[in-house]
Amino acid sequence: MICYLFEEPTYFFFVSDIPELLYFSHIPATVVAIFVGFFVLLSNPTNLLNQLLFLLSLSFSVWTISSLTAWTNINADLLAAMWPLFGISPALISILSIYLVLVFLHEKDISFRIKLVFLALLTPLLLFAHTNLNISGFNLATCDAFDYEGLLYKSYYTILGFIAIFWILIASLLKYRLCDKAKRVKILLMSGGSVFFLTSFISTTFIVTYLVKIGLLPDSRLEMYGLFGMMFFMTAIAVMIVKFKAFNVGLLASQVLIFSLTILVASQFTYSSTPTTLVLKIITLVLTLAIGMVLIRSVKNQVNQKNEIQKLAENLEKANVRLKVLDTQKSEFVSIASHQLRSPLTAIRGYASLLLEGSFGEIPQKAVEPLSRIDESSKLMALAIEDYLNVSRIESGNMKYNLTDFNFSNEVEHVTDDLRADAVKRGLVLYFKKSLHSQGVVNADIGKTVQIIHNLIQNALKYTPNGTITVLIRDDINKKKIFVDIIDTGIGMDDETLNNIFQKFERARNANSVNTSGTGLGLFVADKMAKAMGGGVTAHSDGDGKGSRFTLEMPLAM
Amino acid sequence: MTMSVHLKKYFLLYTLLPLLTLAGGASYLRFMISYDYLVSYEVACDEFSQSCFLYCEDEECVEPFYYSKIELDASSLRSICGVEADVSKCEAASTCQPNDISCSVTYCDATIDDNCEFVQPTKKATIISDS
Repeated sequence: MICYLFEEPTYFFFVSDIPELLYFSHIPATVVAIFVGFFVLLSNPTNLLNQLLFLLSLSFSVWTISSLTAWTNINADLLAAMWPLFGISPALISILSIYLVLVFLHEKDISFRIKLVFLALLTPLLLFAHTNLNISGFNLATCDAFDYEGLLYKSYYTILGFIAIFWILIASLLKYRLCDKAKRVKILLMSGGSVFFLTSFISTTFIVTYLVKIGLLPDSRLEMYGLFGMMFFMTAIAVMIVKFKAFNVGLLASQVLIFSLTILVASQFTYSSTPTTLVLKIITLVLTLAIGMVLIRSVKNQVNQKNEIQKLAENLEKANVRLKVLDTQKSEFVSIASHQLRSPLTAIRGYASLLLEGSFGEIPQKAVEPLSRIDESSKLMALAIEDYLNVSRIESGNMKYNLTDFNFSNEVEHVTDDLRADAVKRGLVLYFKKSLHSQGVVNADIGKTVQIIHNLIQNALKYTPNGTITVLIRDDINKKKIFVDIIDTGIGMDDETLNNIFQKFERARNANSVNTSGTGLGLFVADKMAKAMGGGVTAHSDGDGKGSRFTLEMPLAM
Repeated sequence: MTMSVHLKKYFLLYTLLPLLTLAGGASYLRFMISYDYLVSYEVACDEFSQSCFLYCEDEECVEPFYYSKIELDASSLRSICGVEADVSKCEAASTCQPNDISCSVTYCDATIDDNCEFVQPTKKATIISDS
């Protein structure tokens, strides 16, 4: 069945007796929509936002291709069969626009409840699309079905379009108030673009076709102007892609997009033009070029920033290498210096000790105290030098561990006993407690283990002005671990100190109030050694003045 | 991803796709296979015997075209005029067939439409004698 008053088209779409604006409004809008849709989808096919934009472009393209066919083709059966698409496509466009904007605003998929609402809104349209509620006949003289369209059905999908506009506006306004400046610009582009597109598209297609139906307009050519809304929306999308890297599209891809859009608009000059369409073409090209130039400038700025960041990164890399060299040199220097200091110090300590013991005869009473101070200070200095040397060995990877099985519990008890005299001298009580379910044997370097325990108890002694220190040894058979808790009633630590206490040269902020001789290396060395032997050291404190608990954890040899 | 989460995520796809296919298939069957819809077209009308619609190419209306509208089932038109159903080449389509109950002719109603043309029989005689 054919429309007998119209000429048959060539290549399905092309006829001579047709409004000039038809091709200019339909073809670029369709090509741009399909191009941007596919471009965005292929850039990141798994992203929901990209998928929705693609489906929106596809629905719009289905409408424009149907419209172009309706304007040019004369096969009445085909056109009547296609006519339901004029209701289905706008409805899908409306729902997809809401979906797209909601996902964009909230950066996540919509709730299942909203999906049910979408389905409920679309189902009647899809179920009744082929019925007389939508289309009951076809006019062969005018080659359209406007006379046979159901007003209820047409009103339903038009109202759906306006619901979409208001839904987008309200959701965007609510989100806009809570966002920062950058996000606000994006919301303006996305929501503004989609609302402008929907308003121009839905209002022109409904109003114009309704006016044709009641005879106030001779044909529906005015609806063509509504399609330019899509160009505006796609331009907004392009701005978001280039300026804000939306839809995860790369920088190079953005430049290709702008270039392609400009070529596409410029290609419209190849069609013959009436003065009206020529003016429209020029305006579109100028707008595209202007926006393109702004975007390219923005891209250039981004490239410059990227180059600057790259240059800074290269400089940082060089500085880092230089720092590493200096650090190695520093460690070597500390190692050499410490060795140089240790030898004379051994002689000082030895002779001071011999003098105090009376190996060189009785010494005057007045000299006892100075000699005791020499002995004490040289001991502290020897310990400090040992710490420096250990740090140097750990950092250079030269620390050697001689692993053997030994009774950990006994060693802890021995160290505690050794340090008890020191504790008493400081007016402190040092307890040793044991709660073991195993033999307490570990596989570790015995010397290093003793040194760790020594460091931890010494640390507690240094920072406990009065009260008690409890050394508790316990085990966990299931976890195959043994633990030593050194619990003191000392100065404690705040959270900030706790986070950094195992760093090099780190001491509690209130440490100097009770002890000025600490190097801040003891805990660092203990932790590194414990880790190297499969264990670790942890610290806990309820705050300043509330005491501390250090726990050495070692794997049981079972 | 569990089955329930998967179904919730792709809920619209799994429900709308069958509905869209249904809508497309039903339209195809109705309009392309069963031809179950009405068609209307214009046929030449005798302005001396009926109130006809008037169409003018230009404002002066040098060559007026008088017409009436015929509406009938698309399947009936195909049975009368064949598969192509080009009413401009199908003489039988210019009037309603006596046995076609779906067919109706609409003439111009001067109370609704301004462009009606009905020439009174007395005037017709004058015109014939003048010519």
